[in-house]
Amino acid sequence: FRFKESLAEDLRSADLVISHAGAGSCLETLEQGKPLIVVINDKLMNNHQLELAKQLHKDGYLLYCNCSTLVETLQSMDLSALKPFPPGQPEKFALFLDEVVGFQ
Amino acid sequence: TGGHTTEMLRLLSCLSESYSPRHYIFADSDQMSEAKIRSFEQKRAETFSNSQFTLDRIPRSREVRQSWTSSVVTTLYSILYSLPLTYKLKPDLILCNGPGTCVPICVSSLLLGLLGIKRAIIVYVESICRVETLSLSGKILYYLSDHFIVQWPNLKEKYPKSVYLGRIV
Repeated sequence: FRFKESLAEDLRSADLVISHAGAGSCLETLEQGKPLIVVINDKLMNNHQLELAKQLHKDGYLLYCNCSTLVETLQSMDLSALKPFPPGQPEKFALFLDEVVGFQ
Repeated sequence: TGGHTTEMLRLLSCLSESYSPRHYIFADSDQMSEAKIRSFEQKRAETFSNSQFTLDRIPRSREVRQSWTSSVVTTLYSILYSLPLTYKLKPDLILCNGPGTCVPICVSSLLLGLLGIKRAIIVYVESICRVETLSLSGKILYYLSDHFIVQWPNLKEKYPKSVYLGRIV
């Protein structure tokens, strides 16, 4: 399919996700607890989206490769080495904002 | 737009009902945000009976990779357009997280503050996508906002006046 409103259902039934480096894709997949391999488009190297994928890889949450190394990655991957992705904490933002605005 | 809206709605998810009424402003070219916002507010109305919100669209200040000179023109146009809207809404608090749409609104708000009409607190939250570098809106609003929040420690180091709360979306 070209476009779907939500991938949540597909994500839930997947065992492995291979995706581009878009932040939404990365985060949604990691939050569903699915192992993720991010494939980076070498031609878009200046794209800031890489920052997030690189950091998440550094922190051990996902694997990454480029188009030419994908097969190799799939063959040699160790998904058990990936760390579980902790949820974000919007409650911290709410607390901060309450202080800023003066709500008790 | 898209990812910004999703992040913004997550940021709003734990706010108390004191943050009401909520006025959402987004780009006229944005197709998907309206649906996401309505869905969020609908869920919210299930818990909080007096939930109030409005939606407004403003011309997009800048397309991705638009040239510098034309960006200045389109941003100025967006500012002119946002002034009456900001004047009408007279917000106490402005929350923004990075799309070009936020710059004209914040500039309008600052102008209204300078004119003694209405002073809003401006809180900017840089996107989770920004690990090493700030977005263009971020670079501008780092100096114009009252509180500037980043979600990665590298940015806190580079921009010492920012606030780091960890990952909040």
